[in-house]
Amino acid sequence: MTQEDLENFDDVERDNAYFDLFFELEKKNAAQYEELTKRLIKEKSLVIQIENFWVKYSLDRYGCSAAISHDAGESFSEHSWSRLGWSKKKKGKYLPTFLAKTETDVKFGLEN
Amino acid sequence: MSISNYKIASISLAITLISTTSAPTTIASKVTPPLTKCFIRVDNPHLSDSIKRQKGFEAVKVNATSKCDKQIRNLSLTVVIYKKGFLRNHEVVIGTLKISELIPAFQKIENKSTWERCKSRKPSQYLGVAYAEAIINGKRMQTLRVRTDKVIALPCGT
Repeated sequence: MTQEDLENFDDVERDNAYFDLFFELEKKNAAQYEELTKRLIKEKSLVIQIENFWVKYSLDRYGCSAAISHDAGESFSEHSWSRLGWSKKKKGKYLPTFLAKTETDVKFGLEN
Repeated sequence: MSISNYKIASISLAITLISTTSAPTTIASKVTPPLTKCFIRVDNPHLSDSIKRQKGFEAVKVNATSKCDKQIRNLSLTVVIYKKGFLRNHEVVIGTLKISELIPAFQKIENKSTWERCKSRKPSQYLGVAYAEAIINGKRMQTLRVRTDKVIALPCGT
C-alpha cells in the first residue's frame, strides 16, 4: 500500500473554492432560502431554476432530495439526499443549508 | 438419532458443503476473466479542514474516485455517508456525480462533494460506501458497493 493510499485525497484548493462559494451563497441568499424552506415544507415538492438547470426538491419523512434536469424539466436524475430530521422544526432549521449546498453544486459545476 | 448417526450426518453435511463450495472454484478456473476492470476507491470519513479553517464549523466528508480500463458513458458515481446507530446504520447524506459524456479509459473521476455539516460536537461513528453505474460497450454495468476501510469516530453530530 502506497502513502497515497493511506491518506484521504482531499483537494485543498478545490475545497477552498467550493466552500467559498457555498458561504457566499448561504449569506447572500439567506432570505431566499428561508422563503423556499417555508414553501417546501408546505408543498413538499418544488422545482426551481438555477442557471441552465432545473432542480426538483422533494421532502420525505427524514430528509430532502434534490434531482437535477438538464432538459428544462423533461426528466430529472437524482443528485443528492440529506437527512434533516423527522420534525418540521428540524427540517425548517436545516433546509437552508441543503438549498445552499445544492446551489453550490450546480454553480460550482456538477462534474467537479 | 444415536450419537454415531449424528456424526455420520455431520460428516456427510461437511462433505456436501465442501463439494458445494469447491465447485465454483473449478468452474471459475474455466471462466474467461472479466473484460472490463473498473475500480472504485473510497476514502475514510473525515472532518473537512477547508470548512473549519474558513468558517470555524465542521463537516463530515467522504471522497470517492472511479477509474475504468475501458471508455465509459453515462457514469453515475454515488457516495453515501452512514452514521453507526444502535440497531442499524443510518444514511446521513447521499451524493451522486453524473457524467453523461464519454469518459476515456483510465481517466480518474472524483466525487468530492458529499459532505454534511456537523450539527453538534457529539461523538459519532461514520463510514462511507461508494458505487458506480455506467454504460460500457453499450451495456449498463454496475459495480459492487465499496465500503470505507474503517469506521471512524468523529466529534460531529448529524
